[in-house]
Amino acid sequence: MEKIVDKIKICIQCGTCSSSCPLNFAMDIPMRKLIGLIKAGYIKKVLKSKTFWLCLSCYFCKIRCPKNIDLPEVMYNLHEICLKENILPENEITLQIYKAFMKVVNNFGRNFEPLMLFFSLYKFPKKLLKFLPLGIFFLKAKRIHLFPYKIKNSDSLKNLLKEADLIEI
Amino acid sequence: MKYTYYPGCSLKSTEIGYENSLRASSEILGIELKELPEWNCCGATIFPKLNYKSYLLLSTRNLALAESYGEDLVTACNGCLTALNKVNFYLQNNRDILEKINGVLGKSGLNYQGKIKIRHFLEVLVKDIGKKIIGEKIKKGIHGIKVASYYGCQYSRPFGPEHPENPQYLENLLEILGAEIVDFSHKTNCCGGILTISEESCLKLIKDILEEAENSKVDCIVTICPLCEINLQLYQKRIKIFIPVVYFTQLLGYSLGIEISKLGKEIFSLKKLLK
Repeated sequence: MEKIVDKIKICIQCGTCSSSCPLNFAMDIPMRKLIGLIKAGYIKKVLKSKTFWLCLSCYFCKIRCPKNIDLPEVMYNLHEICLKENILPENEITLQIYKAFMKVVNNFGRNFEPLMLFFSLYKFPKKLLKFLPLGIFFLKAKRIHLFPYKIKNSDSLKNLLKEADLIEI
Repeated sequence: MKYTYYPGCSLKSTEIGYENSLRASSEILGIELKELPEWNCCGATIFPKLNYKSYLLLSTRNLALAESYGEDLVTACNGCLTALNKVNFYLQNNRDILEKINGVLGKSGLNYQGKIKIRHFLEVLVKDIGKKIIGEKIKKGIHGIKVASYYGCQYSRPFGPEHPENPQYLENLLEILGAEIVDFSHKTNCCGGILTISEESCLKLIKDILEEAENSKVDCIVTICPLCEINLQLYQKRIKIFIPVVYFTQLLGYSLGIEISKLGKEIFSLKKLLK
């Protein structure tokens, strides 16, 4: 958290980020206010917000910020803190998608969409069913393979990822 | 011209038409693309959210592999472009962390020195190949086809080769091909990315883009990113606006005289207009 506070301490609370964010309308706390809350020390309130879970990484806020604050990076860091503190987002599916994507990449080295979607949505069968026709369409068109491609060094990559977890950044 | 090519996951599966049209066009234009062997996922925008260290490792492994070939690393996916660039600049500015990541990568015999340049295929076409050579190779052109050029967000932001909100290379290229280009104010807006799966609110972003295209009466939207293409295509039924969405490489390939059947399915939606 100190690193985040360090990144945003020069914020002048102008609101350019909120007004630039395409999903501002869907957020419970606008970006400007979220940064203000971090500055004022209301960390719990910040971590329970859905604001950063809606970050699309479109970088409008970053390039327009008059103080050049890397706001998407701040949004990213808040995700990781939530996971460490076991604070789950209101929209469970988003986290499931992220975890599913990482699971597939950790195992095969690359993404494999059918498996990623299955891991994302198996707890939400209604939603999963919506993607079934698309899956069949892609399969028929030979645009997805039946089995995932595994990179040759996927086992060694797995070990590297485990070791990278131990370094300090 | 020689480049190392990083396709990214989508271009090897559902968006194979993008890769096929890109490769076929490259061949005609004398662009030599050598695919990076055994590349892995770039980490996209997901790894940096949940595990930054894994993200650094994944992208750096690709960069280290690419560095041994010496050429610029070229991708046609906006997500890969930004994910790889982000790590590249981060490590170039934080040498201590680069050393730590190299300490881990060293165990599989890899080392990254921070020398690679990552570029989008669109930039390569316009800047390196250029108007003259492309113009000379054009056989058919796409005259009379009205297009909206749509870049999506991560081509020009945050590290793009052009103005972050008003890039021009796609229009430059389409102009060479003979297309009629409309002003498209949503050209660098976000399509919703992967969040479209879980967040209903993202539909509004797609609707805004499709609506502007519909109001401009274009024949198609031209994209340069696999995720944009999927999102703009997939939700048309729900939004009830129907507009063909094609890759810029498909229009390029067609103009260069490549048979439509070799360019991927997206361009079939324009078949009636292409003579």
